[in-house]
Amino acid sequence: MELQQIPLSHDMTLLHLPGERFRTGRLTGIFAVPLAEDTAAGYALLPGLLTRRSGRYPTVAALSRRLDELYGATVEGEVTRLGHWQMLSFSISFLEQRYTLDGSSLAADCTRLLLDMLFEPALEEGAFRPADFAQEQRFLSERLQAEINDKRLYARQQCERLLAPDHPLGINPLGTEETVAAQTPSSAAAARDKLLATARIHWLYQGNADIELLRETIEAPFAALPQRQAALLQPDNTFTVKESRRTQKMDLQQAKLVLGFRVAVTEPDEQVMAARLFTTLWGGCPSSLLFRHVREEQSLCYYCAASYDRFHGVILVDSGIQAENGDKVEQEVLRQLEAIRRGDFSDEELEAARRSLVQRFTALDDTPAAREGFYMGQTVYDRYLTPEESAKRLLAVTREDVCRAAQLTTLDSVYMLSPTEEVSE
Amino acid sequence: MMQAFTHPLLGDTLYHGQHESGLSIYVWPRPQARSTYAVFATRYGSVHNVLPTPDGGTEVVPEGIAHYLEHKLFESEDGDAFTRYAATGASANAYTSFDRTAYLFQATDNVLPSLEILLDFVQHPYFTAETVQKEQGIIGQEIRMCEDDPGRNLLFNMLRGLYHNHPVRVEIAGTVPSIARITPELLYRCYERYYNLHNMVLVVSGPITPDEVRDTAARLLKPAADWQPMPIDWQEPDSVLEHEAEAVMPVAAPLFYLGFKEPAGEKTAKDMAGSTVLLELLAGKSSPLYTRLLEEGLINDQFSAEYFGGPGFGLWLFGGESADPARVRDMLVEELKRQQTEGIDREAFEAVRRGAYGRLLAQLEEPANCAEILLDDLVDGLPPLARLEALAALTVQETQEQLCRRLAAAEHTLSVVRPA
Repeated sequence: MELQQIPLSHDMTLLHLPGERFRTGRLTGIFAVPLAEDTAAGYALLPGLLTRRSGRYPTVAALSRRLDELYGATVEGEVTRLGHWQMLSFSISFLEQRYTLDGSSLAADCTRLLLDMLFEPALEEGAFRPADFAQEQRFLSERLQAEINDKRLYARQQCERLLAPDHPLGINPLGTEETVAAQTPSSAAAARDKLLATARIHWLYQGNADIELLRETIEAPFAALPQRQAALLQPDNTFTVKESRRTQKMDLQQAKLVLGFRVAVTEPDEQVMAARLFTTLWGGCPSSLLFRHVREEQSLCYYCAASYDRFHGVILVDSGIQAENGDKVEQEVLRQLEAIRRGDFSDEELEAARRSLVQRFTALDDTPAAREGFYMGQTVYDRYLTPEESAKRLLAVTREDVCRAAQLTTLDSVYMLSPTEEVSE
Repeated sequence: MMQAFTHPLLGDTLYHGQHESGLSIYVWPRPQARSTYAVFATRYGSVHNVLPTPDGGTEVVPEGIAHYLEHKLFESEDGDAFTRYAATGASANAYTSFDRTAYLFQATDNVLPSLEILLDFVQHPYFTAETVQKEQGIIGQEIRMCEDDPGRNLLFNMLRGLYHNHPVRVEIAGTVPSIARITPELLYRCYERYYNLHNMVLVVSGPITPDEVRDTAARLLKPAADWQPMPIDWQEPDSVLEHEAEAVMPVAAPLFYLGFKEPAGEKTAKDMAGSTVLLELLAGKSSPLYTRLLEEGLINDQFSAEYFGGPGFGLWLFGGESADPARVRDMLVEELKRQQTEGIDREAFEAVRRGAYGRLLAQLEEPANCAEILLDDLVDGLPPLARLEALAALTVQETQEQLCRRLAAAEHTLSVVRPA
């Protein structure tokens, strides 16, 4: 897969991945702003406000009808956290010409539609229309409140907040109920203006359209804006281990245990690949040590998995368990960490983890959405490796590298969401 | 011998062969893909809750046994299948749903060795008292995890309201007490009855040739005894059992599933195409009802609609979060009746049909999706990928006829989960 990096005007970059073999083309605008408590909510409202309607298609129904006419083209607006950045993405996917029943090409219309959403939104006197704004404010507020519905996700978020209460790791990229409630149609419009003026902007296009024409189409609306000044960040990932513990009770059948570890390896450190392999060996695949020891040998859980946030230097190990087994599971997780630190794992176990991770990289190339996720992570440092290059780096990681990554890993915080009443096995 | 057929709308050529064992094999080459996805499935799911008895009758088996069997099949006398897959690097998994159990892997390398592992371990059951007992704790925790999932509660409370007798109303994983009654002997009996290759299908998609799949299968497939499906009469009426169901859980706001029970009957590809279009016409984002529900603040962006069905059951499901689920139900019932009597808007139909066609086609990208969507058709007894052509050819008259035949406004259950 060959990634072309094309500098655009206004301090933007176009990343082009040829996509002749796919049935769909996809264009995504990736906007990165520093994640901060006082600005998160304003930005978080924008994906909904900008992708459910536009100036030309000012209602949800009208836009939906237009997308149906474009053979079910799909528009997505998302907000996530990537390291210290709040990432807003706006994308449109559409059928390639050879699959439309009438032979029509959709690329130009869909590109235009996406840009109209960003540059010609449904505004009234310079602000979002009150009814549209109220709707999106309600959606975002309800989404925040609903985070408690998914107990596994909720528990992981609580552990992150224990780990880093005053740090982007602990900041919700959707904002908070208070900061969402404080937004207005004007403040949201101002957030949009600031996004266009100061976000780090990358465009990722996957498809076969004329790239020069695409470049002109993307650059054109920016010409009317004032000079852009893209945000800069010097992320600080230094930490002191806090040894925090918190147990929260809720009316549940199963406890959720989350162990938060600090890893002194973060992007763009060359040892990040070793840390990824270490995490996979520890708890990132069915042949992992945690799957074998915690689940298969001791039957303590249905899942016990490790995941590595390489931008913050954090590993979360989480498991759904009987509350009374919390100490037992914690001890086993730490025992396996110690084993890896000592090099007490077989070559077979290491190679199984490596093979699993290599295949995950390679399989990324099978869908535009998976490729996009892979490259979006790399826009943070503007350093791009293809999946094949990533796999090559992975193959070069040694046993000693893996041990070292484990030695740089320390338990920091433990969170348990526990049933109010004991549930018998 | 693999027969080739080229799909007229996709342009892809698929291959089908019937092995002498009875196994149906489909290969969907995707030469430019990086990964290969293979799924080996049996038409045995949680709704197949009976075994034949020697006297010609049937006995009901413990709830959750199909799922339990799925877990146990990974183990053998020599170890487990995950260890074998670790040597090839394939990402392996399995799932049990209402109407099937599927064993699968995705691999970018060592594909044929992974396929050998798949065909081998699924055909070699090994159950002992010790291994069965070991799984109690694992599946027990899986059940507890599901019990805490508001979506699962919504779904099964709704199904228990819709269905009087049909086993779709039973949790797929069973309960902790029900799985405690599972024995090695019962697992073997279920295996012998339902894991007959005549009742199974293998679907492979990716940069692989039909000859490679056929040759691997030929080396590994064992002969299978003659087999006939066992018709089960669940004695399920078209009416619902209860119109409402409610539970209290730690959630932020009321969640709801509204299910409409479809009258019994075989489904065609045209029916499946019609389901997709009707859901959009009734309550999709371009529908008048969706706009009214939004404007009244009765739904948010999590509102969704789907159709699902299987042997002896079918339902139309609308779900989301709402401060007043009963009002959403009333408005939906009213809209259903309106469209049944006044007719579908022709212009809306054309746009929706075009959009649905495009979205289905767009899904047929990665090998995993290709294989699973093809598997859906095969388990449902439909010609492979026929729903795509059916969508392209669907008429407004056919859709109107389905709306009146397949949806009865009175036969619905509203399931709600409320905060404490």
